Amino acid sequence: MSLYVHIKDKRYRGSNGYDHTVIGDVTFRAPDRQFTCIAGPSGCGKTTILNIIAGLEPCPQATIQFNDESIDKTNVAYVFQEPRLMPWLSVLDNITLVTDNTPQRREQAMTILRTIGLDDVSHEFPNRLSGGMQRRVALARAFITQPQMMLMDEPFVSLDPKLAQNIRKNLLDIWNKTPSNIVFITHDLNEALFLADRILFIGQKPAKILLDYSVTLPRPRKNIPYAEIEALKDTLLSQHPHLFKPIRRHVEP
Amino acid sequence: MPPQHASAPLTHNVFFLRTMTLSAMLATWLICAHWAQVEHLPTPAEVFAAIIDQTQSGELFYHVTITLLRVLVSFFLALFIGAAIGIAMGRNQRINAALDDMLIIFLNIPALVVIILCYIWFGLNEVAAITAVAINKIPLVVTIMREAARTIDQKLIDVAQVYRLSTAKKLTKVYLPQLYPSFMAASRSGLSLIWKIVLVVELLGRSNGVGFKLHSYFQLFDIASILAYTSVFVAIVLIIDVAIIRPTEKYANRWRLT
Repeated sequence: MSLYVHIKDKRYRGSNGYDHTVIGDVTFRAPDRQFTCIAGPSGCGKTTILNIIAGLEPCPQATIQFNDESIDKTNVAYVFQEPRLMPWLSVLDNITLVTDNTPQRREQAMTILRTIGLDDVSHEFPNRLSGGMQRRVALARAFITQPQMMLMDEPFVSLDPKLAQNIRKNLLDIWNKTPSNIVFITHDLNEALFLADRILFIGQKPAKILLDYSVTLPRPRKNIPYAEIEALKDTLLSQHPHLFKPIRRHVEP
Repeated sequence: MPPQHASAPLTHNVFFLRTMTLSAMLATWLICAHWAQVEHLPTPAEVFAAIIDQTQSGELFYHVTITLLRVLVSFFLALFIGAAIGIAMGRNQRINAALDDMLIIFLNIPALVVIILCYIWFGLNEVAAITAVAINKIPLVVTIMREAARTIDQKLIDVAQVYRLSTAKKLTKVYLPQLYPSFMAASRSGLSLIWKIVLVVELLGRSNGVGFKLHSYFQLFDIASILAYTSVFVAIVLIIDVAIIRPTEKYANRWRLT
């Protein structure tokens, strides 16, 4: 199973009446069960790429295929920057919202909630939970559908570093149990190196792929020393200083 | 002043305030009728006697039931048609552009004109009566629901789209909960407005219902009976509010932080 993304270009009509090209040529193929990170500075068009893949952003100049078929026929899950939970549904109902509400599914949802340590708040409403807990619920909602394709848009941004790292480990745990293709957006190079099999570095507008980098760190990475990630990052940036100025955010693995 | 954290004392206070307001109203009425001897204002006891009298004859039950049925039918018609049009206008710019002027026209046609025209065009029958009431209320529901539909959170709609929720799920779990507060506002204002219009409709062209009876008692100058019918109907609307609308509202808003 593989993902094929070909975005020839994406333009927006500016307020001055002229078209602005936000994405140049972005083309890549991701093989089955690959964890792909798209990394680049803020505002370079990463979210637009993800929205085009998800079908939320119309783009006639794009071809998005999964197993050589239209992405419309694929079971896609999307974890947004904000949790985007329905405030009027309980945690459990938010998760089963995206699937059928059978007792088996509810049990499955509870199993995922146990994995991420939220089974005791399954009947609470989202506004009773902390930001970190809400993000974990959004993660559980994405995985309950057992997606073939998982899209994630900086889902751990603005969380405190320790909590973010815990949720990243949760993500890898669930991904191990429910393998799927993941396309993960980030502007944090440490995060990309910790999570991904491969990193696509995107340049400033119009966005295009500057470097297609394979991460050679062995899996499982849950207990990988922080220094190892730092060393890899330094090597990478010394070899490709033009890539992007990473935001210095220290991640304790 | 310290903020009120405990909900029990607050509930208690609300109940006390409500009771006090109603008691003050009743006391004012009593004072005006007994001591100030305002002309043509019967005492609460006289009105109560009229209620008993009308109940025993069975007339009150019959006419109130007829009016209540008209109110309910027009209420649901106006609410559903108005909500459907309002949501369509709020979500679709073309529909909004096509219907906007018509909405302003209907908002400004006096209720009396609609009622008279309906009776002339459809005859003095139930269809005309119900249509007249619904037409008067629909534009107000449209206005409220259009604004509500405009404020629907597109981010939550994106979630529904990405996860390919069924139309029924989209409607019940994503759209309607967002529209619910406005829907309740439209219901509340709708109920109070509709029953007032129903009385005018009955007064002008029906031979039963509270409006018809009020007209008869007006000709006889029987103020006690007029107030008897009014009090009973207001009490029924109050009971609907307390027994149906408020508990429904409380249940639907249980997720909000208090």
